[in-house]
Formats: sequence, structure tokens, C-alpha cells
Amino acid sequence: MIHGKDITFSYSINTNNEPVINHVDFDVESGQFVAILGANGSGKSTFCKLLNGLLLPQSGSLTVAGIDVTNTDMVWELRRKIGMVFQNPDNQFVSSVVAQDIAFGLENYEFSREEIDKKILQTLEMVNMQGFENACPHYLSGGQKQRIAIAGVLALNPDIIIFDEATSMLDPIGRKEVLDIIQKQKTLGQTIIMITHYIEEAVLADKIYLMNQGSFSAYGTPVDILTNCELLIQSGMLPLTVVKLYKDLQKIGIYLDHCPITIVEFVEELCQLQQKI
Amino acid sequence: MSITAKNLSFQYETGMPFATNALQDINFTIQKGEFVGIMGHTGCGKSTLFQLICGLLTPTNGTIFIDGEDIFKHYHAHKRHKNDYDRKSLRKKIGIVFQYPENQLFETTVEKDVAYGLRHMNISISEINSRVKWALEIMGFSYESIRHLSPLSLSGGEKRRVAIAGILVIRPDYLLLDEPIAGLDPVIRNKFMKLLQKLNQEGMTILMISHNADCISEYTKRLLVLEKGHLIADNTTHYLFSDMDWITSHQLGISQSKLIAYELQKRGWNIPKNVITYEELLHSLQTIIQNR
Amino acid sequence: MPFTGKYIHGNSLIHKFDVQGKIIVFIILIFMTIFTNSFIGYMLLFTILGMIIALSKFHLKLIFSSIRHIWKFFIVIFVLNILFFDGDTILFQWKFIQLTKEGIHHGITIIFNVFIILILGNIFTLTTELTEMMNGLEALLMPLSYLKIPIEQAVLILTISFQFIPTLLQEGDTIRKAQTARGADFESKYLHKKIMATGSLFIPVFIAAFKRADDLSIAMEARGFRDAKHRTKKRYSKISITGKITIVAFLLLFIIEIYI
Repeated sequence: MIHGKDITFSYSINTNNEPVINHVDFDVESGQFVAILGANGSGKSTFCKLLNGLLLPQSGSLTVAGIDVTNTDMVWELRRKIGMVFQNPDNQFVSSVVAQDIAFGLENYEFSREEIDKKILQTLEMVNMQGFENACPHYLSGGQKQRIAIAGVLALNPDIIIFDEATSMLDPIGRKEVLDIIQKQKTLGQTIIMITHYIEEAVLADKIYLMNQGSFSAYGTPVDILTNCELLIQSGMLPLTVVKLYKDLQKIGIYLDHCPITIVEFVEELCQLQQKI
Repeated sequence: MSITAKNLSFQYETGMPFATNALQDINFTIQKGEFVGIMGHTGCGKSTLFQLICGLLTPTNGTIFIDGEDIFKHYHAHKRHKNDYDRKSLRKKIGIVFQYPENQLFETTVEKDVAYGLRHMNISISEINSRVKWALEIMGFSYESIRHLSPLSLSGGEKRRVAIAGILVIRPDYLLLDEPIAGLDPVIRNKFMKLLQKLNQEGMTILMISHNADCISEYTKRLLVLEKGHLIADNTTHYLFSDMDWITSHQLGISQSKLIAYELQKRGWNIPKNVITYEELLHSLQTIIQNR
Repeated sequence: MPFTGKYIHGNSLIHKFDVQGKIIVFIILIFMTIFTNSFIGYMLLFTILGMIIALSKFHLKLIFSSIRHIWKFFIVIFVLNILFFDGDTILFQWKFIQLTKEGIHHGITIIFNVFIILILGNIFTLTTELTEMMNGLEALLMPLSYLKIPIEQAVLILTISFQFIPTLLQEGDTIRKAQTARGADFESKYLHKKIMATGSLFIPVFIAAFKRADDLSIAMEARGFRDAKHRTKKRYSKISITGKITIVAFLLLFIIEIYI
């Protein structure tokens, strides 16, 4: 679905600045849920703007959904195939009515009015926001606003959806609402790229890319990445509580068989240990 | 030395047909030196409460005492629109960090921005400089390398720290923080919480609004919970977070350590109910396993 | 949050009235107000205004909230008018000041006019959703696009800018409070303090506005926006029969009013 090799990008070519994205390889298969984990300023938001042609790489090759991102004639097609949900829910609304905001993308691709009306109702249902078509986004909660933004993206039926720190400005209830929708899309086979600095959110992924200062310092399954505490700390992340417990228990002489990454796994490991004693 | 709210109520758009009650009959006393967490859902009135304590809003009913002095007494006596309590002395006592404080930076250099709050007080230039240095260093910056930079050239996390330095520079007795760690990286978040703990140990009273159950349970000693404008709980953080049913019924979020403890309890592990922090969980697991 | 002067959801006849019709009727009413100068004319206008207020089902307090803060302005207009409007029937004279019957008459007329137009405007914005209003305007202005005037683009830009206003106002309020807490004095007697305080408010608000505009333009591009032309055409609803009848009725009233 996405194949990137040796991608480099910097905001100004002429200065001696370090490139923001530095010789990066990136691959996503169809139906995969990929998390890009990294601290603020590590380059993860810049990187995802390369994926839909908002920024153009200076070297390397990158094809997304079969389209070469450097081919500027195809950029409009590209953006239909790859949808993006951004961080700040207040800064992505174009209309003061929910239905018209969802319609915005569809209107850009000149869908017929009948189709647009149908899609609005369909996508509102997909994000559990039935009956909100005439509401004003300004008076919705953060979680609701983000779900409307997701509906606007889903309406175009994209091959890939990128969530660019879409939960970072939400309260716990809003975060859960949005994560539930992402989970639901995952089970429907949607290809998802999630950019986050919440390590707990990366647990759900099929593959994690760990970003540090413009390049991927590691990638692999959640178990590979999340149990490697030194690597995480180097990248400005903190290990999961269960991983930290596993290591701290080791220090006092209590050894679990496997390093857990979820609470359920941790509880299982402890219960097995208890049976052995 | 304390902050006391007495029968405090606040209504937006008083007298209009769509007047809404933001706070209703709030009573509490916070002693000097406490580290208090405040939790509640968006729109519960937390931010309104902070603005009242700073005298930025005037209550519809009731009042606030700071160090024994009624900050709204002139207002209530004369029903005048302006709150004519000596604002300057209030500003020296109370520092408030609003949500996303990085949005308020406006000066050309970091040094000037941090010093902004001091320029309104009668303080000598050398004192201003030494305080700015202190505040920037306590926020983890090297004074010499950052003082001449433009605040706008910094990264999001750095801007946040500069903005908070601009509040700390006043050396307030009471520090109010509205979601100070929202959006910060985990490592920076932990450093920041440790810093607050240090300031608290040095005598600063801290009130912090946060959604982050982990930080609240690890660092605060006391917790106020607001729901739809009512103060529904005011107790030690330990007491409130021990009651899993109560927390889930109010959807406050649960710390990871408490969640692990709870799951283990369900599987028959004898972990005390009042285990809420990481250290307590680790200690209790150690005792249980090693006593077998 | 302050809601004054903004749309408030309701189910009244005025709320549900066809937008294009509503815009035209309100424009006719404004013209009626400007052209009236007879007692009967004002009786007629106040009766219409009273009916509209009754039909809108809003609390009177809410309708008059826009007047509440500007009564001083009314007095100034009134005084200026009676002092400087030339007339023949002099009622009172002292040095260069003269009070004429025409002056008083003119002063009262102006105040009535401003009052009626403000109330009309308030009812209009209270009962009409912003996007709905923009759609109505767009539909009414569409014929102009034959003259190569880019109506769609103008309306799109206006709608997007308008929907930014509440967020920016809120942000401005927070920044004002934050700077006040840092000691900025927006009501200072000293000019330099006032200027400093104003800078501490406006610079961050401008930065925020640019940031928002930048974020939004990125979000729009990401959603496939090219230009206002290459988009699904809007369905412009025709003015309803009730709308047309009301417009004709008000036009007739307008003509009658001019002749009395």
C-alpha cells in the first residue's frame, strides 16, 4: 500500500540545517495498522505530510496506493486515496454545520448531491454520531468534533487513513470515543497509520515505527519495540507500566517468563508464576 | 495562610434567559503547602473556579478568602462592577498557568517574555534578571543560550516551559495550573511533575487541574472532583482512587498501577485496596511473592 | 460563554421562514424604516416589529439586549440632531444654540430608525443560522456570476472566516485573562501601560489566527480542495410560495407607506 525508500526532506534546502526527515524507509501493507511513535519535534507530523503530497520529498522514492507522490499531476487523486485527521479539532472545520462539513471533501470530488446526502448519513452512523447532521461543530465536545472530522474522511472511502495525533488534545472520554472508532475501522480492514506519543495507543498496532530526530530508530512488532526500554527512553518515550514492573520485579529477583505489553498479559504471567511456586 | 471558598457560585450570562450555572455552592479550604489535584469532565466548572480564585471573574454568590482576606468584599459591599480588591497584591500571591500557556507568548525574546509579569511590580532590574535566570533554569533551560532567542522559534514543549517560567518568575505563594501536562511528551511530562513536586516541597501551594489519572495519583495528596458545577468529592487522593466503583461510575480515568492492582485483585491476589501508585504496587507485589 | 447576537435554535415561524424570503423581507423593512417619516408610518412599522417579535417567540430581554449597551449613543445622536439641525420653527434660542421643531422631529426619527434597524438585525441573526444565511445570500447573488463575479469563492471564504469567529473570540478572552493575571492592565489610566497590555493581547491573538488559518488550509488541501469552481454545485432552493407572497405583501406595504 505504501512503499518508501531512502526518503529525505528538509524545509529549506540551502541552509546547513539537518534534514527534518533523514534517509527513511517506510512500508505499509494493505489492511495493516501502523503506529509511528515519537516525541514532539521528532519529525513524525512532517513525515505524514509527505504521504499525501502536502510536502514533497527531496530525494528517495515514495509510492502511496500506487501513486508516486512526486507526480504533482496525480496529487488530487492521491488525496482522495489517503485521508488525514489532524490534531486540533477546532482547526479543521470549514462549516458551522456538521453535514456541510462532512460534505466538503465530497464536493471537492464533485459527487452528486444525492450521493453526498446519502454519504453524510452513512458516515455519521459509522462514527456513532447519528442525528448530529444539523449541529454546530463549535458546541460539540472535543471527542465529537474529532469523530465528525473522521466522518468527513471516511465519506471519501479512502484506502488509507492517517491519524496525526488525533487524540492528543482530548480528555479521557473523548480519547476513548475516538480510539473506539479507530479500533472499529481496524476490524473492518481499513489501512491505518496512527501518529502518536501515547505509548498505550501503539500497543494496538500491527507494526510500530519509532521515530527519533527525523529517522526511524527502530521498527517492528509492538513486542519488539515496547519491551526495549533503553530504546524508548532514548526517543523521549517512557516504557509501559507493565514493562517497567516486569523489569523492576527482575531487579528484586522475581522473574516472569515473558515480558508483557498489556495488563491482561501481565496478570496472566503473574498467575502462572504463582502456580509454579 | 489558605485559600477558602465559601458558598461560591458562578453563573454565566446572569439575568438572561439562557443563564447557565457554572459553579454551585462550592466550599473548601486549601492550606498553604498542599498539593491538590482537581478533576472533572470538560465543562464541569474547573477553569471557572481557577478564574474566580484569581479574581478574573466575580462570583454570583459567595466569596473567596485568600490568606483570610475576602477578595470580593468591596464588590459585595457596593455591588460595583469592578472588583476593586488590590489586584497587584493578589497577582503577587497567585500565579495561574492557563491551558496551552504557550499561546500567550508575545515578546521578541524569551528573557523579555519571562520578565513581563515582573515589569508591573516595583522590582529592581538586577532582581528581575536574577529571577528570570532562576525561573528559566528551574524549567530546565540554560539561561545564557535561551535568553536572546525568539519565543516563536522554540518547539511546542519548550514554549510551554518558557510560558510557565513567566508565571514562576513572580514566585507566587499559590500556583494554579490548568492542564499543564496536556500534549507534553512522557519524558518531559515526568520531569515537569517532579519539578512541581520540588516546588511544593519548598513551600509552594499547588492546585493542578488534570485528566491524567497517573500523574494525579502519583503526585497529589488531595483531590477535588467537580461534576456539573458541584463539588462532589474532596478527600485524600488515596481515599478517592481506592474506590474503583466510584471512579468508574464518574468516568474519571484510572491510573495504570491501580488498573493492574484491580485486575490482580479480581484474580484473587491479596493486594490492598488502597494501592494506587507505582511504588505501592511494586512493594505490595514483592511482599506477596516473597512471603510464599 | 456569551451568546448575545448569535443564532439561537428555535422552532418559531421566523426561524422556519424561507431564508431568501427572509433576507428580502428584512431588506424591504429596512427601506421602509429609512423612508418613513410620518406618525402613521411608524405606527405601521412598530406594529410589524411587534408581530415579528411575537412570532419569533423570544424573550423580550434577549431581543433588546443589543440596545442595552448603546443607549448613551442614542442620547448623543438625539442631542446632536436637535442642536445642529436647521429648522424654521424656533422653539428656544440661546446664543448660537437653537432648538427647532424640525430638529426635535428629526432627532426622534433618527433614533426610531436606528432602534428599529438594530432590533430587526438582532432578530434576523438570532433566528438565522450563519451557514443558512450565507446559502441564502449566495442563492440571491448567483445571477451575478453571469457577470463573471466569483460569488462561490467569496461565499466560501466568508463562511470559513465567520465560523472562525467564536473560536478566536474565546481564545482572545483566555489570553486577555492570562495577561491580566501576569499584571497587564487593560484599563490603565496610563497610555504606555495600556499600549503594552494591548500588545500582549493582540500579538498572541494574531499568531493564533495565522496558525489556525495555516492549519485549516492544510486540512482543506488534504481533503482535496482545489478551488471554489471545481466543486459539486449547490442546490439552490427556489423561494417558497409563502416567501413570495410575503415579499409581495411587504412590497405593497412599502408602496402604501411611501404614499401616506
